[in-house]
Amino acid sequence: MKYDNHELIALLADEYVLGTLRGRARARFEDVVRSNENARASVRRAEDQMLALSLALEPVQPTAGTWTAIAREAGIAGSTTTTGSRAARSTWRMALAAAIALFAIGIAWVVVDRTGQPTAMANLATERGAPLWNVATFKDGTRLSVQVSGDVKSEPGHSYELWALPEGGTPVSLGLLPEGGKLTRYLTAAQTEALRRSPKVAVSLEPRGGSRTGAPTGPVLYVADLRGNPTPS
Amino acid sequence: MTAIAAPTLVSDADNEALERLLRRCALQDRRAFEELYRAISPRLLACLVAILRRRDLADEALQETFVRIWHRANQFDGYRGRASAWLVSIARYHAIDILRGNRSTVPLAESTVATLDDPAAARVLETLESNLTGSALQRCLEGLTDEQRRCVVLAYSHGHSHEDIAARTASPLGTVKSWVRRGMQSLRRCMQP
Repeated sequence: MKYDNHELIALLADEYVLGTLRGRARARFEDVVRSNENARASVRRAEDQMLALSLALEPVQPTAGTWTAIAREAGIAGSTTTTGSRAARSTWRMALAAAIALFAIGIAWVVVDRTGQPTAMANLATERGAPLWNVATFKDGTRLSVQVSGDVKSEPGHSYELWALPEGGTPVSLGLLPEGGKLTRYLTAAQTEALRRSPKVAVSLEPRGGSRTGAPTGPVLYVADLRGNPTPS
Repeated sequence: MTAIAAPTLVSDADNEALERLLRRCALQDRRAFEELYRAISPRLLACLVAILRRRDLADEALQETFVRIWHRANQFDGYRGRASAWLVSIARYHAIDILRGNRSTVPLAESTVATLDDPAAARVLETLESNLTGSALQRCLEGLTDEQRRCVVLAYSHGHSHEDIAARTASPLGTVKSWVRRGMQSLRRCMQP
């Protein structure tokens, strides 16, 4: 299909945004959108064009427990009031984390190949085997889940960031690691591809909110070998 | 910011406030995320209910939508569009994916707009069109034929496929596809700056 045809792209974008482009045609167009700026612009144009129709629907109030469930699923439950106390902590933790990092190993990848189940899992732990995070990828290759499995030390003003280390390529951020709870992250096409080509993943300590440069800037705390096939081939 | 008032459309000022909240979410600001939820969740839930037609599925989809928003907030700056469009799109595409993957769980008999000729369907369309009053989209929708307008609205707002619309209007599938395509082409031309 000729994706340099502007009218064709506009038609497909219309049907994609409308929702009438379905099945494999929808999946194929999503692939095009990821790599083609013209297609992205067409989708953005169609989304903007139709937006008023969504906003004209009568609003529906969510049920009372919805926010709590979202906060739990996003891995941020009960944490909105802790910033101040974290800030008051001494900075020794940061130095300790860096020291631990030099020795931290402890990764075991387990391939479990069942629909909806992780295809690969990593247990990130300190040198002494104290667990920190369980990281899992899934068969469709578009999701990454992270579960805090131990006592992750908060570092005031800093975040832990996970990286894919593709062979022969530059590190690709897989997002920030939670300091409590569990989160599931949907990966971009670039992240999925980087993870597929990565024999290793790494955790770095970055400024709060993550690296501003797109590359690791802080100390690399943990590096883990990736074994098996964490995403579909 | 407080919940965006209904039935007015989201203003430029609202969009700027949403953008600020999304940028704070990208920096893992949890309070901003909660504020964003309070502001926009009733709008997103309306979209999900309209498409999924079951409140339990829509509630579940709203949760997933906000988890995605939290994790993708750092991608908003690359979108280069309005924050409300970015947010609504995440919700709508998730609902469409649910429809696509679990068709059997969303019985069309429960549709709020069972047929194009159904009086209930007409009321839904009238409400929508009433709330659209004064918008550029409303002016451009008026330029479509009745069939084109209803097909576009039912597909976009209620997640109907070409086949759904064809079955319920007893119209040939090719004709429905043509109404949709020509309707969208007309809207595109009409709304070009």
